[in-house]
Amino acid sequence: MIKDQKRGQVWTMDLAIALVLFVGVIFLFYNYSISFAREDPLVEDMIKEGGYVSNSLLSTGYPQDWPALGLNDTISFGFFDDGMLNITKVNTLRDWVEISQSNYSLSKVKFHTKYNYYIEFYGGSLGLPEGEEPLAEHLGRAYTPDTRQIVKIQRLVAVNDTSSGFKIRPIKLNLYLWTDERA
Amino acid sequence: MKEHKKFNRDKRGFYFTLDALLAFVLLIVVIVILPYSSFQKTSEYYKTSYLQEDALQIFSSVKTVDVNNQYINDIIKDSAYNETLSRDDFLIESVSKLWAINGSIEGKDSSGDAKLVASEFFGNVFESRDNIGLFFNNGNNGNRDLIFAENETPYQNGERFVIGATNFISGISKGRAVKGNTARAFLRRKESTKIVYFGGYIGDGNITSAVDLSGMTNISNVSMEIAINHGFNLFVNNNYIGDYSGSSDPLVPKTIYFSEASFGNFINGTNTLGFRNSSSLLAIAGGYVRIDYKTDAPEYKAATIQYLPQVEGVINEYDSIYAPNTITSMGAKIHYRVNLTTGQNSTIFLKIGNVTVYRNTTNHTVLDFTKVLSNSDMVGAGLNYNEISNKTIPIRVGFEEIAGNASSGEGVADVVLVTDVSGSMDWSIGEDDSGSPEDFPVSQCGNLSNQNNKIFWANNSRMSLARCLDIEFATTILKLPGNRIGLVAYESSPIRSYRNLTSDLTLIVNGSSGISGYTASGGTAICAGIRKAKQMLRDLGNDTRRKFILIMTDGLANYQCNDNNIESLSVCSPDACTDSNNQCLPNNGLGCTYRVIPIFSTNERRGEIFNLSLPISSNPQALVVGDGNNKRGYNFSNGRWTDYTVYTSGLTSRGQVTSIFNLTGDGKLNVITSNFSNVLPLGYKWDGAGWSSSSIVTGLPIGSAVSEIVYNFSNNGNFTLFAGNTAGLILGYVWNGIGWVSNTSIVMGITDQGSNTFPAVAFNVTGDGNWTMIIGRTSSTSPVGFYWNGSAWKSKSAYVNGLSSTGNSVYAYTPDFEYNLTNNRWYVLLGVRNSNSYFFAWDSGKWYKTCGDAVSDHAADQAITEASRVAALTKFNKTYAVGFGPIEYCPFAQTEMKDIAATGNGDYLVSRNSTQLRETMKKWADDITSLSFAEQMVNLTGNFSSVLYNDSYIEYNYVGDSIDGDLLEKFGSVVTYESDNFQNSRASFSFSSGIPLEAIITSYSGSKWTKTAFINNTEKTGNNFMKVFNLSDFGSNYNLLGDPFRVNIPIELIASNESNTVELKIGNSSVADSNASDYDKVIYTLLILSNYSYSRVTPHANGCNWSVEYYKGQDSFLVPENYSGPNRCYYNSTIDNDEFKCADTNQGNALLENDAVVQATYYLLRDNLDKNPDDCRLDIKASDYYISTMLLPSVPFLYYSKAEFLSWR
Repeated sequence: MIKDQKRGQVWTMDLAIALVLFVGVIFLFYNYSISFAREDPLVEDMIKEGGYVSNSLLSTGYPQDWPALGLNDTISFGFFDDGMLNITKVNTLRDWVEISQSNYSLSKVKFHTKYNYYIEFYGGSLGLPEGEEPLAEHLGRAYTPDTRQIVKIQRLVAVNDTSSGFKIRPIKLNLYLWTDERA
Repeated sequence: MKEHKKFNRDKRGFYFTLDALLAFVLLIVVIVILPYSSFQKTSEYYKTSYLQEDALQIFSSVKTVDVNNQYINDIIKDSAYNETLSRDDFLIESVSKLWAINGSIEGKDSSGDAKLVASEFFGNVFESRDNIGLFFNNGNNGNRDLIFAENETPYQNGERFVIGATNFISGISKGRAVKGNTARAFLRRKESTKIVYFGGYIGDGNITSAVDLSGMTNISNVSMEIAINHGFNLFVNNNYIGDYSGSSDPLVPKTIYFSEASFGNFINGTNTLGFRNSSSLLAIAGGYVRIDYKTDAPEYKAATIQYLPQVEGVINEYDSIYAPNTITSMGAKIHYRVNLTTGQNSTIFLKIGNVTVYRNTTNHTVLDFTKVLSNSDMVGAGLNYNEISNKTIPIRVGFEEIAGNASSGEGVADVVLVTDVSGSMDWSIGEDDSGSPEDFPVSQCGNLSNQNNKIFWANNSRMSLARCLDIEFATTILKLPGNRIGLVAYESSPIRSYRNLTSDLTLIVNGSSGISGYTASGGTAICAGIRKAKQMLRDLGNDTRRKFILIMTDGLANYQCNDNNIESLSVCSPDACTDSNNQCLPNNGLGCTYRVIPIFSTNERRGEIFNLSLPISSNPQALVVGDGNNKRGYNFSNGRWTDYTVYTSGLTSRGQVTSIFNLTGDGKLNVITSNFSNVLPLGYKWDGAGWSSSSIVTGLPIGSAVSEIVYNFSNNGNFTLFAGNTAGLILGYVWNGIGWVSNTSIVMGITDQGSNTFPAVAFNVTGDGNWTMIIGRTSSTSPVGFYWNGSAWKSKSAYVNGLSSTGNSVYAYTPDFEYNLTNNRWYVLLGVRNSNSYFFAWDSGKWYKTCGDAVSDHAADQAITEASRVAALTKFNKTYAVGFGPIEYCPFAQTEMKDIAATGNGDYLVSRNSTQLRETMKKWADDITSLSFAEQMVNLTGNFSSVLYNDSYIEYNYVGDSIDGDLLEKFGSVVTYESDNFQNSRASFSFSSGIPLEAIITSYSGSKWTKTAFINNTEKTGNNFMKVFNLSDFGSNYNLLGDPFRVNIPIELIASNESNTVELKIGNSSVADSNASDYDKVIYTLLILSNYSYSRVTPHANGCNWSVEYYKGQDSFLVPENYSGPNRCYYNSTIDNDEFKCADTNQGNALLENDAVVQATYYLLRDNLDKNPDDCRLDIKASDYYISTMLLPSVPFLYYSKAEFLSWR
């Protein structure tokens, strides 16, 4: 009788040990899977290119007056002049890439990236500047819910904003690079 | 039961297997599904570090004023923050300062304001899920203060903080002031010096020169050195200062020191110096005004404009400008007025370098003209800036009509060289000796620049030297085409030969009447030589020729001319002159011959020259007493002796005479007459009109020949008498107040001299510091000499060196010493029995006979008269007179040459020094060559007048700026030094500290032009004389060029820490150089770097009223100079302070610690002015200097804070 009772205790113990092992394995595996994902070379590449593209956007571009030259003659895009966001430059690129897919594809070449990009501005009212053409709130090709890989780069930029009670204030520039490729 | 148990056991296995299977399946499912499901999710990555970095970058680079947000502005502009914030601060500075000063302003929550500003700026851009915030903290390890955050999770609960960006903010620390001050204290001189130079020639008329004294506050000294042709009234800003005489010589400036009372006439700004003369045209031939004054204004500024002095008379200016670097542009303005009579024309010109930049001709009556020349005008006129940059540029303003007759560049001088070829010219140059001195033909003249040339030896004949010097003289003058030379060789024939005026040097030297053929014979008819020269200049010249004459002789005139026919060249010997043939005038009963001391018929005795200071007359008096009635008195005047019989009034002749002053204490002159005859000496005293008897011969025996009385012989405090006698001994007596007492000790050592001795005694005749005795005697033609060694007389033949040769083989006795007839020499008058008396002069170990055998004072007067007739010729310029040989010592000859030269406003020299004779004649030749041109000075004729106004200027801009005055004021003192005067055309200057700013050679060139300047040093010129200036670079016709008074030495050629030697030559045209004036110098200006000190960064910078101790006493001063606050600072030896040694304040160390000006001043005193800080006494009187300070406000403190943007999860 006593012996039977001991058999039941052993089994329960086995189950407990198995459960602990199981949960431990699950936990370790989860962590492993996360780490595995971060070291995804595709994502890393996208992050790296995102940095390059965002730095380019915070420059004047080349040539400096690229909006006057046309898409074909622009070597690289940049939205800044004298350390400030130049809305004309932003809107010019928006207009160009909205015209055609081929322009958008060509703009990716000018950005030196193979990924799709999408740029949006954030930071209070963006109806700036007053009396002039407002800032495009976004440009590029937006990702979809089915998009597989998205990298978001956030930058803070200074902008002349006479409509907001400031002369100069910061706004956020979000750059998304995305792709449907699989890792 | 068993079955049941078995079944149960079987089921147990089943369950176990089932459990295991389920667990395995579950595991596989989890393994498979979990990762799969994970990768099926859309990936999104946030890179928040960019936000942090960008936020901090914007925060640090956007100025508050540019944010221009009303809400932020209201905070920043709050008056409580006036001293802390500036809208020009960057946003991060404004916010950090508000954070730092929290609590320091009553009623203000500045830290809260900091948070409001940051929140306003960033509030709309961040999202709460950004979990981002701005933090400040003190230094590296302080606690973080949150300034602003946008978050979901409070940062206190946050995990995984990411420090995205950090900025260090220097000078900001929580709880401390945000502004500091630092100061430098400088020690600099209070004095500044302004030197205004006149041009090489500014004339002719009343002159007004501008002096810029901008910044002047208090004048301490004004002096002026000036070469000016006439006396003048001096005005400062039209206020009369005084009357001053003109310069004695254009190469010799005069120095005028302004009185302190006149300083008040100067003003801060532009001043004028006026030189006025109502009757004569003034001309300044160089000079400068030096003004030392106190100023706060910049002390040095190189000129870029030069205003021309105002001239009211005839515009005639020679000057210079200097650009120390490459000229980029030039301009000028000339404003003048001419007043012409009908028919007159006038052409004025302005010449810069060798380019005439302006020329205008007018024939109007009265007109003002103003012409402004632009840079294009200058360039169009032909100025090449590259050619005139960095060098002294001559400038010239004047009328072409005045430059007129010299514009061809040819000389207009007619010069007659009148040379003595009398017999004595065969004697040696060194002394009167008819022996056989060496005689050289002109082929052996050699290089006369070489002082070792044998032609200069003293034993050569005067004729040899005269021929060589005449040839050099003629050669120099004839170098300038157009000049002419004429020759007259005179003696007693009277004209041996002559050569009419010619420019042909060959004829002058080697022609039939040329210099080469001059030989010596005959007498000396100077008047005839001059008379012939007058005829030549008058008859062969014309009114355009400038006329000169040089008269040379080696002796005194002894042949007379015909006074009744002033064109006659006939002469006669004075001994043979008679009234009957009307050749010569009688000589007032003395015959035509008038010797220096006349011949007595027989037994001439001793003469006595009275002490010049004695109260008979203001002139030297000679008293000569002969036997019988032959007693003579003479007065010395104008270089010659004339009869003055009153001096013998009341005397009984005793043959010789000796004088002494105040022997008896009655203040009268006494004489004793005596001779060897068996009679007593006789005594006299001067009663004002003649001699009366005196008992001063008491004690003297019969037959004593009293020869000399001296006072304090050998320090005995008595009058001592020396007498000769027929036995050949010398007798000694000492005056005891009543009579003479014999004293053999004072004549100890004198041996028997044969017979009839006559001693002369004086102290230190030869410069050896001994009593000197010369004894004349009848036993020999030569006197003997002795010196007193303190106890006895010792023979010394050197004392009579030269006295043996009297030129007469008769007894030379009755000597008498006399000092300073004309030229601070000892003379001895030596009577010669039955012959003339002679004067001998002591010079360098020898007695030289002075005036030769015979002279006719009338002949000498005739020579002077003839010279005045030459000087009366039209356009006559100068007379030069030169005497060769020992007549140097003859007062009569000196006077005669001086008087001859004076008739023609010229120069004279009488010398036995051959090289001195050569240099002088060369100089005269150069002077004549210079004057051969149209003179810089004009002679105003007709109704012509003009004015050049002093708003006329020449402007020049050049590359590079002068040193900024403010920098000078802060970092150094500008000090102006002067070198020693030039000697032999050279001067040197050196300096061991300081930076040269300017160096100017002054050049008093008189009527010549400053021609060349060179500098020599090791570092910059490699021990070579490097050219600084050469007027010939601008042209060979100097008349059309300017004449610099100041020659700038380019700074790059000046070396420090060694001697810089400067050589300057003056000249006329390009043909001849002359030595520069001995009054030239180098005036150089140095920047002397200041002593200075620094303070640390302190909260305050006010200053203090200092009381200090210096080595001579107490001193006090204010720093800054206008400080008026309550701070009191002390520096003295009674203060014991460990932290600030020697110093204390009325606030203790706090003031020294917290006030930048006070602290910098303290360090200046301690480290720079107190070389021995242990004594706490300054080494200079600081109040004699400026202690200026330079304050750097708003200096960040050395502490810092850190600004961080963090994010967290």
